[in-house]
Amino acid sequence: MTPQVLDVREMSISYGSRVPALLAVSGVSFSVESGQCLGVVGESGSGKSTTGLAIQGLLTRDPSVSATGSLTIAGTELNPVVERGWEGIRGRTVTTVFQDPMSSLDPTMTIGRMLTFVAGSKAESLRWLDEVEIRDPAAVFRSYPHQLSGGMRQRVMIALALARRPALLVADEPTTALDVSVQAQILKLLRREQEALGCGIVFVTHDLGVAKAMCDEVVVMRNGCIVERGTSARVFGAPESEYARRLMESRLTMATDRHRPVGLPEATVVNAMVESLNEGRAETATTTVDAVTAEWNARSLLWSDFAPADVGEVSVPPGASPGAAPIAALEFTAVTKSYPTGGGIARLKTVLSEVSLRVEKRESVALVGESGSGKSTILRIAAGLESASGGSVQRSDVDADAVQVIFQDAGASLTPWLTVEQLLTERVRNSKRGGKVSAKDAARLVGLAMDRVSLDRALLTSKPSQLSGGQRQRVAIARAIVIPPTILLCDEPTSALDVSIASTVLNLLNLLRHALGISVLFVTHDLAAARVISDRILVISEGQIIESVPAENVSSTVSSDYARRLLDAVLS
Amino acid sequence: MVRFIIRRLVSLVVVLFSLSVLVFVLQRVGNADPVRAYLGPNASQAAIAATRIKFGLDKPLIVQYFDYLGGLFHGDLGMSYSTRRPVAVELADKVPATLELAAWVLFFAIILAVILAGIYTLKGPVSGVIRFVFFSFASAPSFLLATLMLLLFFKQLHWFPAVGRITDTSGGGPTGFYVLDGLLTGNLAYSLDAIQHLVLPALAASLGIGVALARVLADGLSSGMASNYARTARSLAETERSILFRHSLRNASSPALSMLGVLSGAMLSSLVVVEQIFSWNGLGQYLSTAIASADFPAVAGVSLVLGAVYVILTAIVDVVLALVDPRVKLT
Amino acid sequence: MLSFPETKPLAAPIGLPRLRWPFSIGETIAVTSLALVVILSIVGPLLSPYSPIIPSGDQFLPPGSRGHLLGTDNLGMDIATRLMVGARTSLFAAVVTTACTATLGLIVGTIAGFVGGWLDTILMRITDIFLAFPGPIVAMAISAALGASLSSSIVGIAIVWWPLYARIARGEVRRTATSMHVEAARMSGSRGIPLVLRHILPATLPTVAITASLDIGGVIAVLSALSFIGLGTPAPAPELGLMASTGMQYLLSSWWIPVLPGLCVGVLALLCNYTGDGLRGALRSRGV
Repeated sequence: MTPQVLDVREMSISYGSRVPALLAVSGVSFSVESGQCLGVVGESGSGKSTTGLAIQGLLTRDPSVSATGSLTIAGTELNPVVERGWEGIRGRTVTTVFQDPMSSLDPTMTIGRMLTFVAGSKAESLRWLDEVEIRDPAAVFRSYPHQLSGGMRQRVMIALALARRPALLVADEPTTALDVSVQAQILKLLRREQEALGCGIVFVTHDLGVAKAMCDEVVVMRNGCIVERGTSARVFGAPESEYARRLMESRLTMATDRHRPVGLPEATVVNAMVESLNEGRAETATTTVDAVTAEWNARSLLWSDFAPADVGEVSVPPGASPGAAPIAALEFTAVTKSYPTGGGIARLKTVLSEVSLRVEKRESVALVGESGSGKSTILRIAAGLESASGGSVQRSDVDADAVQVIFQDAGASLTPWLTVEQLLTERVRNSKRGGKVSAKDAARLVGLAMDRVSLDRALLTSKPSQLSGGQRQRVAIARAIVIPPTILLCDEPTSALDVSIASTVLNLLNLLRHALGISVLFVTHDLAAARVISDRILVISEGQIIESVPAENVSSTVSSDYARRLLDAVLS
Repeated sequence: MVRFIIRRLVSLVVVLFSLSVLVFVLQRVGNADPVRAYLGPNASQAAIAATRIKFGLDKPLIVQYFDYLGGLFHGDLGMSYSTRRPVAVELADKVPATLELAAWVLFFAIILAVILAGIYTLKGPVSGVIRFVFFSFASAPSFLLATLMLLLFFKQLHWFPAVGRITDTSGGGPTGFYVLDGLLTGNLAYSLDAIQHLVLPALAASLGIGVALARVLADGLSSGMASNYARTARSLAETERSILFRHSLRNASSPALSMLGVLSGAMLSSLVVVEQIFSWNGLGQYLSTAIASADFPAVAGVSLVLGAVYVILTAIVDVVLALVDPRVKLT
Repeated sequence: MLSFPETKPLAAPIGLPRLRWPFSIGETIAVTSLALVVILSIVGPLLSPYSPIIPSGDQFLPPGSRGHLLGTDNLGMDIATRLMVGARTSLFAAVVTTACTATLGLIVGTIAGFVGGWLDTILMRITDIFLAFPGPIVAMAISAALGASLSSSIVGIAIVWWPLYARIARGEVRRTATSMHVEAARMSGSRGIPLVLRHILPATLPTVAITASLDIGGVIAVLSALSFIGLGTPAPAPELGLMASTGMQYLLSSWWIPVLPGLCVGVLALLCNYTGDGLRGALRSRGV
């Protein structure tokens, strides 16, 4: 039997400094053997990060933290909140790879100095840099963290953590801050190093795909408790608990059915669906929450069911009725964009070169690429937040109501000191169509928008800080569609959200685009999400669109290496 | 580096030029009459008219300014109204006096800041008493600190002298920096006497900025100890002490150094006050006297010299900053 | 089951956060004292039997003398009365200076930050030049050029100080203007002045206000320093810096004449700094 390197029994941890005092982890038990990788999976607030900090001995400095239960690392019993006993364990028997490699490395110190402190000698440091597949170890040895790329920094972080040959490695969301293709390389590296060193790994993550690819065993946490445990194959294949089942269902892969709502029926989305189905229909033909839920569960609810015969009186701008003219909702013709760099007057950095794309009325197009590929720049130009350096941009309507944007971070996109009602009413008043309506009609439009995203009208008087992350993103959507635009631009609207909330937002967006007949341009790094929301996928790299494939069968049709890599990054 | 030096030289010229415009224009729109200041209150109309022509005050304003500016290029700061001697000559022996004092003030302030910040950090983040002391000294005007020091160390304890730069004024040396002169001429007693005279004024001027510096340093240290890189260091078995000295101190030095640059402006003004109190024969005392006698060329001359000193000081701070923090580039 | 050798007790939930008095004990004392000092400096001179500028008793009376609580100065004027009037002048002048300076800086900074382009470049080059000056020295030169008086001191300080606020305001406006909520507001159709007033200024105002409240103490000290070197209202005006400066020659024989005005300045500045810091903490904790 392989030796046990970590044994956690009935561990509870609470933060006394928070008011009310927060029980972050409650009665958690698990163990890790040498050479084994245990995934601790959960959404934000599940207690997974506190669990991670506790087993690294990083909670001993905060006097307000208290703990009960038992924690044994490589045969030594320790208290996660008392410093005594941790010397010789922390940093030697157990080491860590942190999430954000930029802030986790001292900016004033060279990689060499940091690594030599841990590895002992320069030769050994260089060997470790080579070990983590850094191409030019001697150059990196002399560099400062800010001179390296994110992936390189994380490799350095791994070298630091492994150089002491720990028995247990804690990986705390090690790939979350990285680009998808780099992510896969880092995971491969961690796997290889684990086999070489034979250490145990505790892998803390919110990303189910990463956990599935990386871990032998998985515990799923929610509200500080473990709700499910088992081998990776079992938990992902046949989850037992209701929560884990919901979580696994929400996970997007390349096999997710894109014609139906994602995940299990959820009150928010179902309510919005009922609202949408009943709108404009006779009293007698109304459907109910139960009926829609049943249909969803039976997998017979299709997005096409929501496409209206008539789009409705408030949403059709005059002279732009569907199918009237074959003009696109958005068209880019040979658009270029370059920024001056600090170097000199004539030096320009080209972000986009000759990008042409066309989004038809009612069409949904996804733009997929990694950070720095220029995808966000396209969105900002389409939104009019930036102007193109060359080429032409055409929108179907000339007036300002044609385009609306949903940003990545909903919390930051809502003005903190204004109420939901003020934000939505302002949008109505600022629009061409809404500017003339009476106060009563404006209130009706605002109310309708709230219903469409299934937000309680009582929340109209709330400020953004009083709402949850999911509610904020729904307010942002409501603001974008209160006066329905011709095209809705979405900038990674789900990447900052937990899996279950992300699927709600995706479902809502899909519902609204079908029900209101809006075009969508969806910018993301995640091919799986792109596939679900769009009809067509454009792959963008280094400022150029390199491929356009139908969403239906992405996996079989992509041809470029780059797109293949993005595809591999969607860990099935 | 060459680019940095050129940029700073340009900035020096721009600062001095705009300073001269500012002071010149304000003096002309102000209500101080230079001729009355020069001749005294009982001068005759004829004498006033003659002096007006002598100083070129009958010419258009713009011509007067360019005359003044032209003088500046030749190191001519104009003629003092009250002593009737060239300002440049008068300032020559006062510049080393002030620079010597300023160097000691900065030296004391940095030592004080490091000690106080250390105490603050070791004692834990919120120590009300230390915070109170920080605030008290940071708030106290330098003339109050100077008076209290005189009462304690001069009147009560007789530890340090109260006035002047040196007891024996007949000695001297090549540089005008008395401590240095003593060392250069092998006269250690002379240096020691100069240091004794330096302690009280330097301390009085350094307390305020030392404490302000300590606050920034302490803030930097405590946020450094709570940072992600400190967490990494902890997870790699570094001791708290090692984290403080190897990581936090270096990271906290950048904001403290930037603050030092800003504070050196405040230091120059407290030097003016302190020099007056301790009869320190430097630029500050000269400025006070010039102000009292509405001696515009003298006031402008001192402002320009101190402006240049300030620009050079901030340039030095920037160089040190770039040495400490690899992310900072000299431009 | 094993248990830990030392276990800290689990804290009980305390309930919802209540609305609390936002200041610590020290800050509460400071705020209260500042209020008392303000009242004293306004009411005190009216109640005092002495004039602040006419000798009213023997010279050089030490503090605690009969009829003269804080003694008299070299001319026999009542020090307590002079201090109260001086404190009033100091506080008033500091508040006026700071308010004017902050407002000017806020306007310039907001325009520069929001409009951007060449206007921003020009305005910021101007502030660059000002910030490269040794501020207090230039303030001295300006007020000397304008002729010694309290108002020229105020003008001098305002001229060298506004660029600092302009910088802060511009930075905040720029940061806010590129933040997502402003981009979202632009997308929802807000433009121009309504956009600034509704979506940007509420974010900048607290920062500028906090900076201003923290600066009042410093302005009191600088004003007293200017007065000390003879740039305030000429004697026998009851100005704190001037009182300390003219009293210096009696330091060794009658210490209270120069020390008391200095202490008065120190205490005023301390109270203002403490209050400003408390205000900052209170605003931060409310998440403004």
